[in-house]
Amino acid sequence: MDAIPLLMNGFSQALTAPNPLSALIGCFLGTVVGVLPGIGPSTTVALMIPISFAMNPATALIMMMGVYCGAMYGGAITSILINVPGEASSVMTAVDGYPLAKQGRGGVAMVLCQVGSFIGGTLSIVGLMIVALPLANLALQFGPAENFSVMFFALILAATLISESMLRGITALILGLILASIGTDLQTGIGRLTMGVPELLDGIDNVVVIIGVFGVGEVLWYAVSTYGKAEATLERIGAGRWIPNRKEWRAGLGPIFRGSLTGFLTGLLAAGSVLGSFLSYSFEKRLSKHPEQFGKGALEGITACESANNASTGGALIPLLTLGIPHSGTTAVLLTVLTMYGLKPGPQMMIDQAPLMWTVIASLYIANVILIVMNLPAVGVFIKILDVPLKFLMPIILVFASVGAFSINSSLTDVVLVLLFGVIGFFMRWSGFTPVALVLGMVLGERLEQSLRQALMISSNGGLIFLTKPISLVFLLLTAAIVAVDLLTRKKGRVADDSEG
Amino acid sequence: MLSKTFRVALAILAATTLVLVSEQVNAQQAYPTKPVQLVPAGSPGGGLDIHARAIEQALTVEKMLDKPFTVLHKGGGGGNLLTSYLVNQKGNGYVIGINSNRVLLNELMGTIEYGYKDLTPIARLTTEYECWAVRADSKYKTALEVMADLKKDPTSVTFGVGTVPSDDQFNILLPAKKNGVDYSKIKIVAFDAGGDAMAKLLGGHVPVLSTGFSEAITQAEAGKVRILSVSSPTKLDRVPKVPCWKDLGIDVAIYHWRGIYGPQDMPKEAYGYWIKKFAALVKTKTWKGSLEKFELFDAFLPGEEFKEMLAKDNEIYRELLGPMGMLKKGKK
Repeated sequence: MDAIPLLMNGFSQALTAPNPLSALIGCFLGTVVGVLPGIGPSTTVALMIPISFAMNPATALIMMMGVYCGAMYGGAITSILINVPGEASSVMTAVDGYPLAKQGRGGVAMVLCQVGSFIGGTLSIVGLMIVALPLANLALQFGPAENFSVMFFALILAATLISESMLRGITALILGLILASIGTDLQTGIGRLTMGVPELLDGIDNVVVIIGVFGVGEVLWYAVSTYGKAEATLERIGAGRWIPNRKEWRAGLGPIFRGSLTGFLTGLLAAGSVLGSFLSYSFEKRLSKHPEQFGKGALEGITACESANNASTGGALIPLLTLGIPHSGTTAVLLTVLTMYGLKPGPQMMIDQAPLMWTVIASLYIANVILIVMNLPAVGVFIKILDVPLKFLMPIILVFASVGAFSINSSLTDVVLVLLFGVIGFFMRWSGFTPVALVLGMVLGERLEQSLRQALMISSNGGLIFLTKPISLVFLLLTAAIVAVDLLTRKKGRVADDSEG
Repeated sequence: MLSKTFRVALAILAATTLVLVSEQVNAQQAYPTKPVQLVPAGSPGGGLDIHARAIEQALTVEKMLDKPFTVLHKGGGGGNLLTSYLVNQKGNGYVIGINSNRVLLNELMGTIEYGYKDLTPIARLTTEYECWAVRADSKYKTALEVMADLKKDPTSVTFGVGTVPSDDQFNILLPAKKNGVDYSKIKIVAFDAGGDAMAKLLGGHVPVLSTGFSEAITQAEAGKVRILSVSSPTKLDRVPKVPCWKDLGIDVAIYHWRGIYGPQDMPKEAYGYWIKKFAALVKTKTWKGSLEKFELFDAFLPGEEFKEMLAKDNEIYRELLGPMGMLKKGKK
């Protein structure tokens, strides 16, 4: 392998004017897109296509890589500050990030998230360079049966984490799965549960549900819980400090490296960034000595999650660069861009277009450096939002959520849905249901169902396919083991609780 | 001698006539007097969006664009959002949309109550072709071997496709039907999109893929897959050894086309203007360059011919989907 000279050449290309400027613009745009809920990286890259006609391929691709990486960095900010995750992959960041902000540690959380994003993003590019080919072949081994078992594993792993009532958790999860089944059925092309609304034929966008139950739900909860209380009028969260102390660094770093690995590997699969963030969060809670703090402000949770969703970028690029096969989402749009430049994306691309491809890889490193340098000081600015009194902040969140929902498809239906899910989110809080379980079911539900049905159609021996395929079997056994361990420790935990109480 | 008054009156009359006539000429040339909305039934970055961009680019570069386009995306709803948008614009000459045969399929399957008869078909522009692909190490060397297995037992071969209903799927059903296979029993698995389906073929999860030619060709040129057949009416230049369906004695050709639709009752001058404009567009160098880049083929059919083709295809789909239970009740 003569990767090093190729990479060096890539760096010199990526650092030749005007490429650094385009990287900077891309990173900035990406961060903005990540911060604003709604419009995501794939739409942004697509909207850049007409502009990119005027640029040479390297300059345009560098800018798009900046957007792709930047969006993952930005996602953490709104999750932590105002409990509005902009993407499904930052949901778990909000779960612990917002409580941290309420404790006056929002700045610390953001700094650690940015560092986690940087490490996760950078490590995944190293991984992309070193093990791209073997991993691409591994990714091909994941057919419908394997995908189903991984999704099932993730779902069970995360579901057993729902700390309160098991019954409520499972109810919310099932509600999420039902929501996921709204829309056109992939296998028959027929609309399900659409109630004659044409917009619903595409299903409900995950982000709409997320913004609704988290952001709008929080606003409604605030409005109701402070109703008629005079002392609440000037209440604010308060920025607090933003430099992490040594103990906080130590808490955050381990999860960052584990999260990077999880994120990188799950990035190889479709829906990788979401899967990675949920999985790495669950792993950390299991490894933790104080799992009860998760959900109430555990730094381990947010750093694992943020490093994982950034690390997924490197993993997701592997099938695109080595095989010319995109997952859905941003990599699919990138494939279109490559085609537009006449680059014939395919298995030969890494060889035929080596200089350009290595410039793109070099630009990923550069983008990560730009992002950390740009975003760390920005934490000091963003954190000031928390100094705004809640009675002003809450209406702003509402506007933010509505605009975000509208921006997804320029559809008013989505705005109505966001408000509807806000009400649902409010009642879930009121009755002690976890919105996370709902979102989890919603986000993983569609792929879970489709891969189940695909596997059963392909299978010549019915449901046995899940046991005869080795990778699938491994994940099912892992799932069973975890459930067993949980049942045992839960019993023990209850005894311990009783003795304390 | 004519009186002076009469001469003056004549001059005024002549001048007025001239003005009126020239105004009328102006009025005829005037369409379009304002920007025209070009509405792809897809999101930015998708195939229909690319068509919109390529049309805009070619008309601009060739200096044929009289008024600028405003591009409005109506992605989603399986193309239905565009159809209902155009239905609401009845009589408007300033909106044209880009869509595929989903206009027919969606009405047949009942996801929308409007079909091609509620729109003005302006022109079919481009087409892609479909193909059957297997992994390089597959036991199948020709499409006829697959067909023979299907004849013995229609459930013996599982096909992967990008989406359902689609030309990927019809590229299985139609040839099988012509060959006397009980096509409603064939196992067809829909994946996320063409790329996802290709990954499943390469991973050995499905034995045969029916997919867009452009999805398969780079993999074939890299020696990873073998293309068994193409759906074009004659062989394709890029793969001169691969037979089309007709070469195999199966009288089928499948066009994965995209076309331009206007609202119902759009003004005659707008309708005529766009047919002429697109007829000229498809002959330009810029347009041909775009087609080559995106592996598209010219399939221009103007107004009435396009409409006849839609009527014919609608019946073919109706016959095909009926036995599969995919038609909306009452559409049989």
